[in-house]
Parts: sequence; structure tokens; C-alpha cells
Amino acid sequence: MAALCARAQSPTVRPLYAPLAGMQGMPDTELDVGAQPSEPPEPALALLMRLAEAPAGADATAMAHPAHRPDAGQHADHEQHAHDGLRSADEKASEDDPDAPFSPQFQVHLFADMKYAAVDTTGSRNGFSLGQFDLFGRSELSDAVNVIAEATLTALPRNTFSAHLERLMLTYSPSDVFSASVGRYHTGIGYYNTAYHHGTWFQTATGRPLIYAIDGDIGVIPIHTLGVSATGSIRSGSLGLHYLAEFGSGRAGQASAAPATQPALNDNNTPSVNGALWIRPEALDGLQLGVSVYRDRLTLIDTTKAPNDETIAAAHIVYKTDALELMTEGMIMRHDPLGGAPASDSRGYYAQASRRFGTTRPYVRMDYLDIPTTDPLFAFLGKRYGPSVGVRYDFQPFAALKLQTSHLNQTTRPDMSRFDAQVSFMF
Amino acid sequence: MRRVQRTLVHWILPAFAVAALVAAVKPAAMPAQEAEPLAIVVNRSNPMSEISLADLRKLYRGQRSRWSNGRRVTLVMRDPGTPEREAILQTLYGVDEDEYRRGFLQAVFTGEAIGAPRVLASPNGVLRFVFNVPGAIGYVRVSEVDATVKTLRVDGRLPGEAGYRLEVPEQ
Repeated sequence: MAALCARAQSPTVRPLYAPLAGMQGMPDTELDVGAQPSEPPEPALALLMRLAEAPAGADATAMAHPAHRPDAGQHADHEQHAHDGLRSADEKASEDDPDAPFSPQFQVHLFADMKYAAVDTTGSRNGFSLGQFDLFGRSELSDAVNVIAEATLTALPRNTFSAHLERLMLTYSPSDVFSASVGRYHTGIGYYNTAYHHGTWFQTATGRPLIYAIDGDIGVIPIHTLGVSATGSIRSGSLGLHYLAEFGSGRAGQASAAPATQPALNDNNTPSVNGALWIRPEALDGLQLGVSVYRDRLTLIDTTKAPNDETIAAAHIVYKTDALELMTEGMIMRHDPLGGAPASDSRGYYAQASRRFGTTRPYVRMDYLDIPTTDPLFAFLGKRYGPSVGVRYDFQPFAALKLQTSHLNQTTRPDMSRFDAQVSFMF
Repeated sequence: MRRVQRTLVHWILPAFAVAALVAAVKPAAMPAQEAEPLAIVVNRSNPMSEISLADLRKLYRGQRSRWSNGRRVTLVMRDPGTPEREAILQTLYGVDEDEYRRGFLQAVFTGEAIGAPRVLASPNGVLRFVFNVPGAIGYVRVSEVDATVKTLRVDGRLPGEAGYRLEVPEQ
């Protein structure tokens, strides 16, 4: 076989299979992309006109190849039809050079979910509800610049909806070691917050872990940041080290992109900073370990209280293979009032395990979040913890049914058990 | 407390043990089938002539998006259901078709991957595409390789050499 391969690469040996369409005039010698076919040279004026009609930046050498000549192409197509039958639309597209710039094309994906929930808490009503309608779009402005936009419509009681622009990012990525974004993005705290966004179809369970709950409701971490972000890989051999650095407006400063995430906060001029490092060792495919530290200064609306320095440290271990999913993350959030008052430390973690059997994936998750009574923002949440057990059934490649039962012990509210049946899909 | 312990010992732990056993049991081995090496092909202008399997995985998973010369990587895949594609999914992604789609969509959704691979229907299409696109990388059976593209050594081995890990059942 090695000889076979070497023969295929040999400059003096004929190809082992029928010649490529449009290459009938090719010499048997090794051909570089820049090599010219053994045909009469194209008149300079005609060549210039043809290049002028082509998209700016198109590869002239590739275009000069017979495969790109309209006349040769017709001949080539005929040859290939005889050899392969009708070509697919994809194959026709193969004649285009995707490296060539083009007018931006906005690719859209939509995600949605709906569910039935039964909750045993007094005052709660069982019934069906719409979840979140998520519009995700992406467009490439050039080889190195792209835009990501994500907007959601979330169903609220009484047939009302809230609309949020969740993400709007312009990203410049000239290389794998550096990529910069500006806009509104998911804060790079821990793993789950950047791995899973608003489309519940991607998530194994029906919802996010407690520590990554959406802010503004029962969430405690700043899910989104408005600012600039840089990320990339660090040359580290088989360690697979990556970095992330973010510089944003902080929790309250996001009011320009969405309703204030924490009503108890006021705007200030102190930026938030976040840094993260994670590794994906080659030795164990599917493993990721990482840490992140987020820092901000919070100005409370209650001006009788001192501003707080906020520090959120998170660590994660994730192991995902085709069948197995093991995820655990821990988080410590410190609110440290200026002026010497004691700081309050909140702690939380979750651990999730699942295994896929064909299209069915049973899972289990344990959530824990402990907010001390001295916390200036989230004391009302108290301590909350409990397990969730469920099964996800992918009845279609892009649609899943999830059945989940959960129990939550709470110190500031009555304990709660609930059952959720959710259908989530993308289209 | 004792009741909880009893439940744990009598029911939960055995249940986990049974689940672990079920997970560990693999289907009976299929009879050995003749395999043909799958060649990883790039444009002839690509400066690389060799790649590690780990780097190939990163490329195909969208975790690496640039060649050493700075040109953007354009991935080429065969149609779903083809043995060549299934071999690549198994060796480079370690997943089946559904998980692959979900994983790649998620990578695009999070911004980690730049774009989905080009899907081409025939080996001719792959060779033509790779010939025409300087940043392209694709795969074809070794018997389908020709001089219009460059075959990469994977972990220092050419297709068919001992230890070469990319194989597809013979047609």
C-alpha cells in the first residue's frame, strides 16, 4: 500500500484512477497549483477581464487551471458525468474557492423548546409552557472576521415575552493563537457558561446548573459581559493549553444591551476583568480541565452601603466522549465591601454524569449553592441543593425529548420537587 | 440513617454495578474485513508534508483553523453514510454521525469552530476541491489518490505503512 501511495505521489506515474474532470490536458508530471497547463497561453487582455469579473482576491493560479475554464469545464463535466453519473450540488460547489472573499451571507439557526412542568410547591401551577425561542446567526465578513448574533424570546406568564439580544460579537481571528472579539458575549467563567448558551437542545438536561442559572432571575454569576475578549491556544505540546482574557463593563454596565441583570446594582466606571486557562491533554481525548478568575467592583443602588469588590473563582473538570459525559465545576464568589467590613463567600458546585445508549441518554446531576445571609446581592437565595435525574431521547437528529425529575432543598423557601417533560429542537 | 445506608448498599450500588457492566459489555467482534488505507490529502502548495494524528484531530474538530503558512483550513468531508466518512468519524472524532453533527453545531454556536466542513459526494469531487483550494484538506482511499494532490504522512507514516491508523473497509 505504501508503494501504491508513493506511486500516486510520483511525478512520473499516471494517476491510478480516471483523470479528474477538466484535467484532460494536464501533463503527467507533478503539477503544482501554480503550474500552468500545456495549453496556448491565454491572451493577457482576456485573462485580465476574466480576473476582473472574478471576486476580489480569488486565487488566480487556481483559476488559471483548466478546471476553471468555462470551456474546459463543460468538457470536464461531460467526462465526469460519464464516469460518476450526475454530480451533486455539493460537488458543483467544489468549483468555487471558499477562500475567496464574498458578500456576507447570514447563516441562521433557530432553537426552541416547550415543556410540561409539575411542581409540588404551594401556589405553583402545573401545565405547559413555551421555553425560549433562540435565533442564532453567523456571518463571515472576510477570511478572518466574523459576526455572531443571538437573540431570544422568552415566554413569561400571562402570554407575554421578553426579548433579549444575548450575544452580538464581532470577532477577528487571524491565527489559532490569537482571536479578539468585541461586543456582548457569554462571560468565560467556568465551562458550562461558554459551552452551552441559550439553545437547550445542546444541553443534556432540561436546564442549566444552579450556579449557571440565567442572571436576573435566580442566577448568581454574570452570564454576559459587554466588552472585549481575546482567546487562543498557547504552544504547549501535548498539553493543549488555551487562554482567555476579557475586559468588560461589569454586571450593571450591561444595561445598554439588555435589562439590568441585577436590579440592586448601579452603574460605575470600574471595568470587569476575567481570565481563564484550560488544558485539553492529548493523552486523554475528551478531557478538559480549567480555571477562571473574574473580578469586578459593584456599586449598590442603596448608597448607604459601601461598594463591593467581587471575585469569582471557578474550576472545572470535564470528560466527554461519544457515549460518556462527566462534568463537575466548583465556584467561589466573594463579595468584599470596601471599608473593612467582613467579606462574604458563596460556594456552589454541580456534578453531572450521563451515558448514551443509542438515542437514549440517562443522566443525573447534583446541584449545590450556598449563599450566606451576609451577601449584599443574593442572600435571599440562601442554601439550595438537590439532585436531578432524567433521560434524554433524541427521537430525531435535531430534536430531543427530555424527562427530568428534580428535588431542591432550600433554606429560604419551601423545598420543591418537580417533574419536567421538555421537547427541544433546532431548525 | 440506617435505612438510607441499607437502600444504598442493597439497591443503588448494585444498580450502578449492573449499569457499569452493561456499559462495559461490547458487541461480539465482527469477522475481520479487508481494510484499505485512507489517505489524507492537501493542496500541493501546502507546506506541510506530515501531520500527527493529534493535530489531525484538532483540525477536523475545528480546534485548529490555520495552516502553518497562515492560510485558513477548509475541511472536506464525504457524504453521510459513506464508509470513508464513518472511518474518519470513528478515528478522528470518536463519535457517530448524530453526535458529530451536534458537536460541530455546538462548536459553531460557541464560536470555537469557524464553519462546517464542505461535504462532497465523490472522491473525484474531493480531489478536485483540494486541488483548487489551497487551504483544503480531505481524505480519499489510497487507490484513488493521484498526482494533483499531496498525501500527508500521519504520525510519520504513509498510507499502508505499518502502524498507519486511518483505514476503511475495502470496496
